[in-house]
Amino acid sequence: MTSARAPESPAAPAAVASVWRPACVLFAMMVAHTLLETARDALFLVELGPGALVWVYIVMAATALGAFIVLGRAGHSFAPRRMLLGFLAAAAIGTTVLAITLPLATWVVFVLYIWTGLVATMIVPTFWTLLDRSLHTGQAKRMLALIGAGGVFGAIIGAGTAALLARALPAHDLVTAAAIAYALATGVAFALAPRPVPAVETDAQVEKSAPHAAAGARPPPQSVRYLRVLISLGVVSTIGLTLGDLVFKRALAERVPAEQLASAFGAIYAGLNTLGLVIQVLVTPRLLARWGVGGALVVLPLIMAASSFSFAATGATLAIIALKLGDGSLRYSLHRVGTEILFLPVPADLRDRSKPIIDTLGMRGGQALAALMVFGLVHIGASSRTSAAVAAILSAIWLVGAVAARRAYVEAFRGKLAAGEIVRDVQIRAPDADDLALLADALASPDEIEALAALDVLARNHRVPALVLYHPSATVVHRALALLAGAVRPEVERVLGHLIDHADPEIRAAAIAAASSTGTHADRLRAALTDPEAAVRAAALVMLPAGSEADAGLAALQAGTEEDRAVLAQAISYAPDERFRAILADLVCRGEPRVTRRVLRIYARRPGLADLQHVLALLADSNVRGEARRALVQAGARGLELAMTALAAPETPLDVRRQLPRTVGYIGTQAAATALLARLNHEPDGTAEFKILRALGRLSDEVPHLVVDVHALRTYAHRAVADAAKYATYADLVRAQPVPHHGDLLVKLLDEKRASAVERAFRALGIIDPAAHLRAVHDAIVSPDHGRSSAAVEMLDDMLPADVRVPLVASIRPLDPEVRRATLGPLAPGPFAHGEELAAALLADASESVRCIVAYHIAEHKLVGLRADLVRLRPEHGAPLVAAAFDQAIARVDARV
Amino acid sequence: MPESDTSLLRRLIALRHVPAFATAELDELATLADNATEIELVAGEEIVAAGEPVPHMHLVLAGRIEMAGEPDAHAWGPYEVFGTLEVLSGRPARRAAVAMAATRTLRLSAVELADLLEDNLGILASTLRQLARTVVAMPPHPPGPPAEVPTAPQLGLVERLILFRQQPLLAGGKLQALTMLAQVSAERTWPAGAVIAAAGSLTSEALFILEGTVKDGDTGHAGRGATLGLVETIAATKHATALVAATPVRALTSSVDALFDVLEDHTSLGLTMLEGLAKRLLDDGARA
Repeated sequence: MTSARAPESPAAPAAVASVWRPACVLFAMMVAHTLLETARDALFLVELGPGALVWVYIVMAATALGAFIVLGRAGHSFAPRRMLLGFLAAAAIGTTVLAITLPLATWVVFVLYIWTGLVATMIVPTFWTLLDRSLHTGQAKRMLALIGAGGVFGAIIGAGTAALLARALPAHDLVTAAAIAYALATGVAFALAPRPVPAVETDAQVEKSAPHAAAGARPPPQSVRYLRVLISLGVVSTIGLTLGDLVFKRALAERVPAEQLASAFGAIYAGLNTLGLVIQVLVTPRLLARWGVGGALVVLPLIMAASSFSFAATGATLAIIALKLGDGSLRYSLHRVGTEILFLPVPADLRDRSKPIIDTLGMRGGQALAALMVFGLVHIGASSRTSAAVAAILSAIWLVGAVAARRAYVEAFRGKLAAGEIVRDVQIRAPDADDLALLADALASPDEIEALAALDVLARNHRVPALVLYHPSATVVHRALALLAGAVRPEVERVLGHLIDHADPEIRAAAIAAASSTGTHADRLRAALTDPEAAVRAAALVMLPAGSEADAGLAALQAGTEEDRAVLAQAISYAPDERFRAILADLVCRGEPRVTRRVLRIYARRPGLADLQHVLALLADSNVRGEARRALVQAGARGLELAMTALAAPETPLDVRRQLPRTVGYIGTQAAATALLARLNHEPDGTAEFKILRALGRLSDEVPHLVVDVHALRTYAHRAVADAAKYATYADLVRAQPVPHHGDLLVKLLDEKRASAVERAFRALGIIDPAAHLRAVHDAIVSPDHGRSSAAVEMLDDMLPADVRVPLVASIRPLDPEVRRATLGPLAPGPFAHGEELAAALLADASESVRCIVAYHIAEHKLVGLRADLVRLRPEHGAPLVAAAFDQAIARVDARV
Repeated sequence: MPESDTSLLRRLIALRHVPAFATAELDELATLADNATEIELVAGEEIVAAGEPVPHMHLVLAGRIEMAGEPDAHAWGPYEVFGTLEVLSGRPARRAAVAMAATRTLRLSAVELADLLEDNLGILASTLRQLARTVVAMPPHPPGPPAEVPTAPQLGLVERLILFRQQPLLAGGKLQALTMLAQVSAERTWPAGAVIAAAGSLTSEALFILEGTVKDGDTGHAGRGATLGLVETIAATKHATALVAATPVRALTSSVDALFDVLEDHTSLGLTMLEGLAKRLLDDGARA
């Protein structure tokens, strides 16, 4: 860590190219379109007047209907790049023809208007489809705003050029200029329009291999529903915008002399587009990052509704200017980008087929409907203020539609995510009649494994049938006895009584115990005291009344071999009783796993017999941990109190402490959850802390209506996000350093720390809102599947507040280090002047493993200047290996001075 | 999703026949069963082509799957699992696999299996143990090149990590898991002639030899950088021969308890080890 070389992102040049190339194409297209649009508006208002606009929109809708049929068919036959080039060339030729024919007749102006709309209908959706084929969802969200800025800039240049030309030339010459601009745009598109890149799988390509993409397959119903929402939104928004546009144009035509209309339109459009560019570059990306697509979609309808309503109410020119400002600056920037993003959850194949139709239906269909409305308004003699009132109502409907579309958008992504999700923590429900028939068949099977599996399932529901004790397999009978574990029902006792002469000693012992407990076969009990098998003798001793004979026999077994103690524990399990408390306490302390396990099983059934403090200490022993845990869990409130006291006590050994959260989690009560949550933000050991979180997750899944301290969980989530941001930044910084021997250790560890902090944040947030399935979102977001990962990021927009989401996503996504730092803001540590300063910061990190590795690197690189930091930061307590790592590093640095 | 709980139980009972799942907790097995899909294959239907990735493992319920061209050596009948090693190792199929008759299987995808193993420690541990036992039962594997042992007189955390990362079974593990393993491992010494492990005793710890030579039986010798008993520890098998210190020996030891404790917190290490064992078995020609 000796230099601070500027980091490079290997993907950066490709990413830049994937923005500027399409941005240039869109720029050229929009220069041409705006030139043509300006000429069209000026010529139309002068030659035909605003009253004819109604007919134009109706004819344009009919033309568009034919166009989208052509477009839909062409979409299956031609690649979008080829289609775009063809349409641009056609636009250049067609516009040239119109420029030549314009002076011949007034009706050509009408055709010009239709042509302008038709060209836009064909070219614009084709361009966005082409773009969609080359971007992932995540890329699209970041890049569409920048690419869109190229278009807005083109519109500014187009409008500015139109305004300048209009001062010197008649309006119809602008059409010639537009034809030339379209020809140039064709050349630009030929050179720069994105080409298919087979090596990179876009969402579209990934989806095309999915089963639903098969030719002729019916689209998923949820996708069809979603597309209907998009069509509705498109129609409503277009009606609102068109009505607003008509109101504006009527107002302008009333106030500006006819000969100045072209230059006025040029100037207004140039101003609006400049504002649009500023919004596109400065506002759109931030708004998308902060509020997501939902926020982006509501801004324009909100402005339209407010300004239309104001104009309707007051007739103030300022209101109509505000309306046009909103429309002109946001329609092709924020609104366009937001609308394009709405299509991302739609399966690629379906998107390719449906998007041109939806665009056309939305735009032209909406315009036609708007025209009919205007026609009606004119017919009843409505003023422009009345028209504005109608526009305000429609904008309000559009606003509601935008909110609905946002919901549908998130649901569409949720559906996309669910496709790769596994079902976790399946619970076997209580068996019904069909299940019982199946299990009875399996239990009667000569296949031992099948019978055992059925037995396990039945035992789960306390339904071990007595007749299973007649099963020919001793293994099955043994398992049945183990599962009955003292909970011997009368009918089982009766059956056991018949097995008193069974050849298997364990079955015989159980039979003796069962018979004794019902007071039958007293003679056999005494006879069993001389049985050759210790298991049977032990059972007889346990079942004898307390007294010298029994006590002596039990004491002999207790003092005998491990096998004797094992059979003694087994025998006591047939009739656990207070009188065996001392024997059990002795057996459990001997460190014999088999014996200890049996005693712990008895404690699980009779927690009152146990010294729970000792049981708690046994959690450290993996050989008996499961049984110790069950005993504590069965102790209920007493076990919970003991476990939580131990968790809070600093002197509790780490190997016990780390087992406590899961144990408490298994208690499965509200009290257990409350206790764990109270501990979450105070646990010093990272592993125990993570286990608390996991246990809480399990509790939130299993305990109905669990009440959690949301503030504590949010605090924890914020801390986890801060950790993720810190480690992501550190990893970026260390990656930029010269690689030392074994240097990947530190980067790898920092990456792992980041990933685990991200997981912790998701888990905590998932406990707050279990219905959000954040665990699945986390799995998807870190998965190598781009489609699922992008879908998960989109869903986060809807689920998490920006102060958590933005740094969380910035810590997860592969970003340029400078971009990440800028996004993370104060959560990013540093910057550091040089590598040693970075190393000093890492040496003070909370993670022991990070500090050890950094100490190792300091020694390896002879960073003498950091010796004082090594001495100062050497831990006095905690894991000995950490102190040893610092000692070794100090010694190595000293040896090299 | 299953069509009913009865079908879930049927699948659960079938899965119990897989040795690796024999001791799995009931809920873990139910989760596995719920994520498995019952499929029917017609005679002659190809399950996977030669050289293609194996996206699913199949528990045969009825019928028979064979590797094309190897009818005797590679066939899977009822309650046998096709594709485990390929799925766990991520390696492609060596030959095409074909249903030889009308065959029913329980199919579980590689991605789902990895997720489920990561979530269900019991199944992970038993699968690991089962695979390790298969490795131990195979003819002895020629020892790999010795690890480069750090020169420190006593290994610190980083030196232990460096050592572990040279072990084929541990190399791909997360550093956080290996750090935990390093922390619960211990450095021990034996004088020359000391019995490190008696023949017939349970292999309870892995030895990473840092200095000296260990005599393994009558002929085997393991020196600096060698690892002894890692797979056997996971398999919980007994030492076939005694391990004796031929010279003074210093070794880093990791007990089976410590290893499984680490797995409890870092199941991803278990997946890494499964991948390593599966690759080794495929290399040794075990049937998948």
